[in-house]
Amino acid sequence: MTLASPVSTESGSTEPLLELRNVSKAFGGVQALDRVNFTVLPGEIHALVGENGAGKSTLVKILAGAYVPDSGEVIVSGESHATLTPQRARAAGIAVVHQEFNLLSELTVAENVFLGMLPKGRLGAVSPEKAARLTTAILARLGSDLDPRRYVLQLSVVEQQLVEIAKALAGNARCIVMDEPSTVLSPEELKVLYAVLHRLRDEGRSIVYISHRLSEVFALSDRVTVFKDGRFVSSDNTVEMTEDELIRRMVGRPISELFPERVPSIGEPVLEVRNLTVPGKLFDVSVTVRRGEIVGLAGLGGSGRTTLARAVVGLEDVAAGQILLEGTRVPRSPGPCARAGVVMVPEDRKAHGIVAGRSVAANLSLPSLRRFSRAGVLSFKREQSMAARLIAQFGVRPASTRVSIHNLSGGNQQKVVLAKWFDTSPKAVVLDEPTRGVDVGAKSEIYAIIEDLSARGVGVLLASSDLTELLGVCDRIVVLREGRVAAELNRSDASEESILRAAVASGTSDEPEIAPQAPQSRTEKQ
Amino acid sequence: MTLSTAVDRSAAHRPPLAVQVVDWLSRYSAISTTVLLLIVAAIVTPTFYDETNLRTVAVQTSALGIVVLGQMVVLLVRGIDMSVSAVVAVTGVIATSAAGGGANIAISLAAAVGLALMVGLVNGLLITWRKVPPFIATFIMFIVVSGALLAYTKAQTSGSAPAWLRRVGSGSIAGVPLPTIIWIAMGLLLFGVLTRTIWGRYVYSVGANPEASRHAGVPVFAVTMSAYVLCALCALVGGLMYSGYSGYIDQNLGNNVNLNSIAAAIIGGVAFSGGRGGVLGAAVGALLLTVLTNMVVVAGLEIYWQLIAQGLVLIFAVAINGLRDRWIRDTA
Repeated sequence: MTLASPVSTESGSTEPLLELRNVSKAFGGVQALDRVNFTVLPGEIHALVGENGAGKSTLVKILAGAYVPDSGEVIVSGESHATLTPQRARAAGIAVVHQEFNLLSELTVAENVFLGMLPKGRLGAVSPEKAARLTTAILARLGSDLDPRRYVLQLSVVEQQLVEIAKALAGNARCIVMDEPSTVLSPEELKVLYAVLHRLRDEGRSIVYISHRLSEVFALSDRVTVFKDGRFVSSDNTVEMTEDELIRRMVGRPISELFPERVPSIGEPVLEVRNLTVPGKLFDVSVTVRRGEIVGLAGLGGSGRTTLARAVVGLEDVAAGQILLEGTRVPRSPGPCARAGVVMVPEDRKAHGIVAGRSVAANLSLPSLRRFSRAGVLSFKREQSMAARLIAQFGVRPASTRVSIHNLSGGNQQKVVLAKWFDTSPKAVVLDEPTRGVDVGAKSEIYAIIEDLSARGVGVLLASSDLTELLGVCDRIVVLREGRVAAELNRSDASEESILRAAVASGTSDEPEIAPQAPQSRTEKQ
Repeated sequence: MTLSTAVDRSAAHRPPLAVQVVDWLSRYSAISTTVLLLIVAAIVTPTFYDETNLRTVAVQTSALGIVVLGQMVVLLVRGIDMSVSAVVAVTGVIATSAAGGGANIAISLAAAVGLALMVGLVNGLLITWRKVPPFIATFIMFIVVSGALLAYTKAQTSGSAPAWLRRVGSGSIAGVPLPTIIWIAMGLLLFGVLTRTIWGRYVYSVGANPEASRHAGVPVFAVTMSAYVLCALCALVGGLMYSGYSGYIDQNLGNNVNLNSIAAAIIGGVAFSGGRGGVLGAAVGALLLTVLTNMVVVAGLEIYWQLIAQGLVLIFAVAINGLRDRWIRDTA
């Protein structure tokens, strides 16, 4: 990480810009926030970390004025608010940039930035020219030369994020809350975002940065606050913190336990992809996964990882090549594939993984309904007992079969998405980004599940953009580059550097980072 | 599923009274409105409770209710079927032409079933395979089938229903009209199938998230196709009930069935966005709409008031559902 952060440690005497005192919020029986304290100083980037369910989202919504705390007070620039409404939060100078943007794609950049407060020209009519001019000025402060007349639907994700930030600045926000901004960004885009956030800090504004990626915390933040189970754990200057210590505070266990011990016992080939070509996406790709083996699939965004994962279960139009399971060609759609013994866990959990609105039990049983039915008629008893068994086995919380799946945290949803395939006794499992947007605790549980699969002789193909994960879990790593196999590395040869070298075309001088890794950033700090 | 979470929450800490009222109304809005209407009828239009009128209401509710069963399944898979009224009309014509031409019952029934199957299959194919939006695909079918019907009958669809059909339409067992018995039997069967079979699970799952269902190995195309075929078959049975009850067929048969069947399902709590709703709600929705229409007639108001009354009830039902959705989203 080249963006070492100047640290404002001496600012102890400064009056806080934003302070939460003993704020509590409960939903039903769940205490989402329990008397938390949280202080943001002017001109700092303050990272907020914690597992899913730690209370980060609730805090964001309180700051946005969407939730009213049950007790406690929110103090903005010395003024106490028992209840913040969205209007009052904005007036007090707090702006929230949500993970999912609130932009109108049919409007221009300028119209979005000044939404609801378009500047007026002569005769009191709105003036698009003035809006464009002001927007250009704001964007320039962010170091961007984005054309304010472009329509939002034409923008890339990071450009849209810039528009959101510009919107906050147009409202003269002094404290910008970024809710997991990095999950939607590529490494290159992330650099742009970091630069923007540093500029904002240098203007004296404060950033509350919520993230799952600890590497970002160290690369970006001045201070870091940890929440756990709705409680405040600690606030420290980031330079005085180590990653191991941060993880220990978040989960209560050291990082060495993140990846399970692995003694692979590898057998015959079970899943073979031979000379696979998907027009425009994959070219002559061959990958073999053996029984009990975990094969990693690395590559930059757009290198074909997801296409390969989807193609295995018949979700892509294959132009040439074969996919064999124990020597037999696999069917061309997910249902028959599952019955043949190969399943795929998709990357996009919300869109492709969970059936929102349905219960956990209904989600768990969906791929294997035939097993709990006779002549098409279901046995609820067998379904419930299967669901209860899987919930216990996978540690899904809350341990209820009846709760709606969309009420679970991301990590627990992912466990359900993984667990539902277990009762189909697969021979090969393809996982596409199984730990994306999942907290550290759930991550280690998911790694244990993957390890358990391989111990039972299942062949696992793990597509991931997280190099730490690939290096920690896999026996072998296949690197894709522009739809072709660029390298195949054994566990002993694989390192972050060797994967990256294979992933980027040779001769390129600037080295993009796939997932900036923690130990690196730590060494730079020292 | 969302229902149960709402219950859990209200048990844990009581939401404000207004929220409780909205939640209660939305869950029971169709039933409570129907009860209210029946009370109003007793006061304002006592003739509503005449035996002949009650029978009329029962038969009309049943005929509509049967069509609503199919429409509901289509709505559950995120679809809509605008061709049901054409199927109802075609069924009537086939039934009468059998009576006039002396063709035997089996042949005319087979022809009607074949036609309904075809309509359902074409709807399903257009929507799954050609990815035509359901509203457009089924509306095209409506135009094609209605047009074919006009061409065949030269716009002079009139005649008597065959004797056997009139017997079905006007018969009763133990005082309960036969169409009502058929409706209840079909409703119970569909209830069982939706709640207790793999196919039922697939229907709800496809409606809630078709893409995730596909990834989980659900045969999304087949499920969607089957919904449209089932809907066409229900429309066929509904058409037989309509023509058997009225005893004759004219070209207006089935005119309002498209909108009424959709309205009844929505009033009964079936979500336009798919994946939510059930047989009981759809049945109450059909009852509510029919009672409302009938009361306008019995009260001696002009027929146009029917539409206004129906519109108001729809606004009420949709508003209540919307309020409830928003509340659930806000507290989630």
